[in-house]
Order: sequence, then C-alpha cells, then structure tokens
Amino acid sequence: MPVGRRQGVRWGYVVTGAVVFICVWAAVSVIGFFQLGSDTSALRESVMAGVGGSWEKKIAVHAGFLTTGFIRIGSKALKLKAEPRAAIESLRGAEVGVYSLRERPASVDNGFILARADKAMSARGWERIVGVSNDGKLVAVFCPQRSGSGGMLKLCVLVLDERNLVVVSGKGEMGPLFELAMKRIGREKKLAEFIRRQIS
Amino acid sequence: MKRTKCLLLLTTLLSTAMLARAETAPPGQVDFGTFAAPKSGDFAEINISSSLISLVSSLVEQKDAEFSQLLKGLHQVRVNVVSLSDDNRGELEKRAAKVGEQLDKNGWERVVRAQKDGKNVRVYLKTQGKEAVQGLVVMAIEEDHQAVFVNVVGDIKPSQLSMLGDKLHIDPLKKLHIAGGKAEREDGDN
Repeated sequence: MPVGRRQGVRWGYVVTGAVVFICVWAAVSVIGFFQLGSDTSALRESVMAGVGGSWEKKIAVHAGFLTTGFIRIGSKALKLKAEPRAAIESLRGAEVGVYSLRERPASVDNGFILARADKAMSARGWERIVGVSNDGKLVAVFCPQRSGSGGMLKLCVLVLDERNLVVVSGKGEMGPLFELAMKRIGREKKLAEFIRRQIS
Repeated sequence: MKRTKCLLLLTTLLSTAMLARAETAPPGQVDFGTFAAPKSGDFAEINISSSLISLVSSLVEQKDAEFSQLLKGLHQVRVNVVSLSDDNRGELEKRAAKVGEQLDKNGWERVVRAQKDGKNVRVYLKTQGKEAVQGLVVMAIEEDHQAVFVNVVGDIKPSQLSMLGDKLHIDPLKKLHIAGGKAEREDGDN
C-alpha cells in the first residue's frame, strides 16, 4: 500500500513537472519568437550606434529550427511556385528585425558604419563577404569565418536605407536554392541566345 | 628586469606569430589595403574565402564539372569597386601605381597594360612555371567614373583563365591566351 501511494505521488510529480516544463518552454519560445539572436543584435547595435539618434522597433521575429520545420511540413500541402518552395526547403532558421529612425539624420557616413559593423561582427567570428554602398543605401553580408560545411550556409545581412534599418539572419541548406539559381541562369542564357539569333 | 624579460618574450612571440602568418599567405594574394566608402557614389566590396568557394564548387559539381574544377583551385576572390571623386581620385591612382610597382618587383608578370579613352587597365599574373597561375590582379581606373581592384588567388591552370574571366565577368581575361607559359592578349593591348 505505501509503495502504491509513493508511485502515485511520483506520477503526480512527473505530470506537474511536464506541465511546468511545457509552459516554461512555450513562454520562452513565444518570447524568443520576438527577439533577435546575439549576432544579429550585435550587428543591429553597431549600425544604430554608428548612425546615432533614436530608433523605433517596427518588428523583430525569430524562427528557429522547429518553426521552420513546421513551415516546411505545412507548406507541402500548399501549391507553391518554385522560388518560394526552394526558399522554404532551404531555410533552417531565420530572424528579421526592422527598425526606423525617429528623426532624419543630418548625415550618414556609410564607410564609418561599415567599419563599425565589421569590427562588431569580426569580434564574433564573422567576416564580411559583401559590402555595397550606393545612393546613400548600404548593404552588407556577413558569414561565419568557417562556413559552408555540409552545404549549410549561415548569413547575416544588413540593409540601411536612409531612416530604415533591416537586419536579417538566416541559416539554410544551399542545395535547393542553388539548383533553382542554376535553372534560372540556364533559362536566361537560352533566352538571350534566342533573342541574339532573332536579331542577327 | 623580470618585466623586461616578459616584454622581450612577448615581442618575440608576437613577431614570430606575425611572420608565420605572413609566410602562410598564398603567393598570389595581394594586399590592396582597406578602401573607405566614399560619402557619395558607388562602393562595392566582395571578399569570398576558400570555405565559401568550396561550398559553391560542391554545389555546382554535377551541373558544370569544368567550372567546379576551376573553383576547387581558387582560394580567395576579392573585388573592390570605388567611385572616383575629387577626394579619392589621386589617392586611388597612387595606390594602383604603388601596387603595380610592388608586383613588378615581386616577379609578377604584367600581361595587360591598356590606356584608352581615360581608361587605365592593368592585369598581372603570378605564375608558377608553365603549369599554374597562383594569382591574378586586375586594376582598372576609369577617369571620372570608378576604380576597380580584383585579386583572384588560387591554383589556376592557364587554360582556365578565359573561363575565369567569363564566369567572374573580368573582361580583360576573356581575350587572354597563355602560350608557352607567356600570356598574350588577342587584341594586342599588351
């Protein structure tokens, strides 16, 4: 009899523990869903500090491995075009933050911002592979210094356009996207060849 | 005394580390220095390292084996495009001239030097015998427009150079032919 009661008590603990765990996990997931990871946050902070002024958060969303997994499974039931299908199939995690500067800055030095972003990201083991500044717009793409193992690629992107800042970070399987890009290039080459033949 | 010894040891260690780093840099790698984005005008910087190149190489392998083979030999691709303005024109022209002088001194082969319509193009190759190109440098300065600096580092077969020019859109390379280890340009700009 005491043994049975003890077992009953144990099961009670297990169930209570599981419920508490699920609640905490759900709460953490929900909070985490609206927070950027540390690398993306560091990139965002470096840009914000470089531009100065007061920033307003428009949106910040984080979708981890599980969320993107659910999206992948769910999307199988939908009829999608090749491009979004390839993007969904590739994605293993993503986060996006959109921010807006409350007042128009007097001047923005993209070179200075890029240098700040480089410093912040290289301290975290990232290197910039692309940096483009054009007409006051700034785009920079960072990837981990050791990247590309197993066809997986992790990228962190910043886009600064006057008062708007977008930081995006994504991790994905490059195979499906690359396949699509190659098909596209092939199709465009054929089209260009066709047009050239028609003209000549 | 102890502090001096520590300082000496630290200095020795640091210089050894720096020397080791300099020694491990591939022979085809050229340091153009850092480029600052101008306050107005275009600026583009692309720096692709070996890990990313090998990722693309593995992805492209089944579709284009020849290109994949070329990519496997590449270690680094660096491209800098900077808009010219009154502020940076002089500095960038000087920099290109200085890099050119250094390359000449370090045994690089100048395969193209063309000056036409305000366009100044220089192409250099670092070769290892007749079999391999270890590095490629393209410096192009278009008066009133932009300066372009390209450095491709790797182990490239001379026969792959025109494909490299085609795939990476480096026009001066497309017309380049290597005959008997010596580079020649089709249109005779050399």
